[in-house]
Amino acid sequence: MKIKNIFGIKLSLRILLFILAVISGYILIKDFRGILFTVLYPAAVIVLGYFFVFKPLFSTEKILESALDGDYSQIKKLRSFGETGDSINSLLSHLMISRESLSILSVASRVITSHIEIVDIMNMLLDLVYDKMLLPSAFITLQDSDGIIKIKVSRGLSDEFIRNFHFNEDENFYSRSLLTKEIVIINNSAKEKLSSSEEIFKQEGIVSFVQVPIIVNDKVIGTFNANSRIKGFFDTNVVKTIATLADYLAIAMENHRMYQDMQEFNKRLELEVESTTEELTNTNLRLIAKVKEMKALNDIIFSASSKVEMDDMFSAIIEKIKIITNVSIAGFMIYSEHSDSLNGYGDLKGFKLNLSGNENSILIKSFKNITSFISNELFMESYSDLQDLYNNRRITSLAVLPIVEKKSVGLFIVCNKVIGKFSQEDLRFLSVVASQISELITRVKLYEQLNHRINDLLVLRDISNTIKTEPELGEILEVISEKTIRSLESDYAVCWLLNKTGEKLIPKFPPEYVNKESMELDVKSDSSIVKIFLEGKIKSLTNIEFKDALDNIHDKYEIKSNLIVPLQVEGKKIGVFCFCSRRQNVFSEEIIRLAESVAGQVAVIVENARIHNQLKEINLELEKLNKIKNDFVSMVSHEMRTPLTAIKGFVHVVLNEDAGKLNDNQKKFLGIVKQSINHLNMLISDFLDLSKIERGLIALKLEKGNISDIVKKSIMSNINQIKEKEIELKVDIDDDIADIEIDNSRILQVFNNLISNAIKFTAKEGIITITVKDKGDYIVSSVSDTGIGIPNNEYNRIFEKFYQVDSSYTRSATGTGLGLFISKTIVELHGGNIWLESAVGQGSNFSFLLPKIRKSARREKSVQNIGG
Amino acid sequence: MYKILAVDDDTTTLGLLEFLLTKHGYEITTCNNGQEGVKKAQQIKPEVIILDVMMPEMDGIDVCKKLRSLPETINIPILFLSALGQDVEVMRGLMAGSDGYIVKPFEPDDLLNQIAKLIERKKDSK
Repeated sequence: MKIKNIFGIKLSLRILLFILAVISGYILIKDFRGILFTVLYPAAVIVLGYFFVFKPLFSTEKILESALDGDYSQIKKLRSFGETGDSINSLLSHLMISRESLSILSVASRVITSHIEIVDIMNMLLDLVYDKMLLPSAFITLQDSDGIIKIKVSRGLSDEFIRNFHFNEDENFYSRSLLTKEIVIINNSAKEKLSSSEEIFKQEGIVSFVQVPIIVNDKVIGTFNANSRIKGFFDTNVVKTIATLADYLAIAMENHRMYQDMQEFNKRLELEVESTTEELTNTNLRLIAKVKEMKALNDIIFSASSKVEMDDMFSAIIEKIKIITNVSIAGFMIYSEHSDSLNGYGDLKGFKLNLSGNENSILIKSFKNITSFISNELFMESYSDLQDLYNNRRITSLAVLPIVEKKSVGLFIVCNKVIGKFSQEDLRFLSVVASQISELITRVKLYEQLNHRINDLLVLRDISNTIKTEPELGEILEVISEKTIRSLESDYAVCWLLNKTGEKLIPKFPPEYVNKESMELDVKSDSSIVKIFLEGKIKSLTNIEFKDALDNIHDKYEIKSNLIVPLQVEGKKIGVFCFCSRRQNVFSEEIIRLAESVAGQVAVIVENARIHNQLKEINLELEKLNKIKNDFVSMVSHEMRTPLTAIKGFVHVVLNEDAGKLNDNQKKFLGIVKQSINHLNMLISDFLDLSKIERGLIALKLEKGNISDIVKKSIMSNINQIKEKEIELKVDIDDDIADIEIDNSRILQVFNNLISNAIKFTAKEGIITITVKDKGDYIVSSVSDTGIGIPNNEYNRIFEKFYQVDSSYTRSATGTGLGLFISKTIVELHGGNIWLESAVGQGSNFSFLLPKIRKSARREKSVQNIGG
Repeated sequence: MYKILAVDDDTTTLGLLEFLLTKHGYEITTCNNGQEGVKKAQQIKPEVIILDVMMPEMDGIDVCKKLRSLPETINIPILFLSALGQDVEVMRGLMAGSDGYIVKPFEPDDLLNQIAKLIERKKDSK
């Protein structure tokens, strides 16, 4: 190696200059003798020579020596001298690089495995190269998000360069690497053609550069660039090293990216896990809360459902609620349609709130609008409806929840939270309780209703049991009063019934006041009892409102409250019951309801009893009258017969001429008299018969009889009238009419009746036909006339008692209207039948049949009860 | 001459009976109340007693029973003559111990026949 080559130009120049300086110095000061020449000049030459030549020279040597030994730290100084010759630089570089490349790589590999930022990695790698290789500049470019390649990190570049750096489209050094993915090496740019931008390099004295593409996922994302002032610096080894670094960078970047991705992924995962955990926790908490709630509810409902009384049930619920929600007062207000009010239970028992007149009340609003209400600070003045409660219990906080079962049923109220205040959570829990309770309440109400029904029915049954026997009004009222007094929780009862004229209410119970005038109530009076009676609606009255006929009773029995129950049957007001009690406020909803349901039945029973009584009385009257009538008839008949005996007897005697001879006229006239007597007798007999029939006392004297004989006999006794009216008589009797068992005189009576009727209703010169025919088991007799006939509509009635055809056709008032009735009775008693065939204007035909053989032989002797 | 006792509270009836029976050859005694009738019956011991039912104080039925309880009158035929013609009353009369029952107003011939029959029977049974 020539010195020139080893030390570089600058050093050679320095030596030359030094020598020049020494010579010129010598020349300058050769004329000066003395110290300056002998001492100063050589000193100056020495000093100058040291600092200017030797130090650099030797230090260079030293540096080189040390470098050879492996100490590269001095090499930087070489650079600052700017004297390094190509070969020394190159040599040094190579030396260094070959020694350092392993360490570079090992450091690099350590670097990339650490978790530091890519930029830092890039800086570190760049530093490695820049420092270790003593490069004047190096830089890494990366493609940023816009796709533009920019210098990311650099060493030794001027800002201007960095700013102006860009890849342009025309084919140049940089594009090549990107496009081809190949390492571009330029070891002597003097030989290469460079673009304008690359001129900068020339300015810097850069003669060689290398560009290694950084490839990630088979894509060039940037370049690793290194520049050197040494020609041919970038030999294979160097390039390999740089290329490896570039690879490392690529890996690092890839790792980093992956790491970033993972981190992000992790983060996302973490976030998700966090949120999920949060959710789960929340859900868990909610579940726990729910379970707690349900357990509490279950507790409440379990203890409540075993109770059947409303009161007990409420007590059970309230006990639990107070514990669970930690309040000191809890209660229910249940709506009653009856009194249009809310009534309190539980701790609110005895508290009553009417709906009308309290529209502004918080409770009423809550009930009507089905909204809940919470207040943690109650100012007493503003809630007047709870005044009573306040007075007793000092409410400071309050929660009100409506209980709804299809419609608003009542309110659930809790007050005075022991610790803390009512929260939304509390409200929610209470709402759940309230909704469960509504079912329970409905069930209990139904049960109560059922019980009430049963009670009512029992009461009614007891009452109706007494009616099985003769229901006497007084007894009925007594039984009713006894039963209902007890069920209605009263101590005393009074009953008034409306009198016949409807003007007064007469007391009918208790017995000591029956029909008492001083206790009567005029319907027009302004007595409260009368008012309620007229209104027809049950009402409860305290004594203060009550000024009435019961004043003395109230004082005597210390009555405090009354229940007035009007009695109505099918809209008709029949009376009123008043139940009195020694206790105040005893007539509750249930009692009034019971009274209502019982009132209707009681009214019916009472009315029935009354009617029955009336009927009984009427019946007795009728019986009495009947008896009187019968007795009268008997008496009259008997009385009339007695004189008749004398008349008949004496007429007979005279007619017999036992009292002297008679002339013709006398005979004739007396004959008429005799007839009349017989007729009169018959009439009286008819009356007697009727009486007998009505008393059921007619009996047949059965004996063998012949109808043809009877017919003849009957004709004989009516012969005069027949002759008189010049009626033609046709008789047609079968020859072989057998004897049958009959009451001869009665059958005679029948024929007499029919024949006399026929005569009566036949005009002069009419025809009467009498037939008797044997018809196998029966004998049928008939009497027909050519008289006026009987109209169709009278057929049914003709055999009735007292029946008489329109009397305009009868010329004289004859007959009692009883004949046919009696005839019918007689015929039917014989087991026969009587009927009529007739037409107006064509006469009438009365026929009757008699059985030959009587159905029952026993009937002969017994009395027939016909009952008129 | 056969003796007849007639007991009836109605004087017209008694008048009729008196005439009638006298005309037909009987000796008739009348009285108008039951108790007297019993006494008279004991006294006279007639062939037949004609007895009305409806009388005040002591009615015919009781008279008949009484007569049937007394040894002097126990066998005397008694004929009821009464306006009460119901079967019940007839039965009552017959069961009281009478021998016949005639309803007022009566056919005089019927009465006379009955009396004759009763006397015949009595005679026969003797």
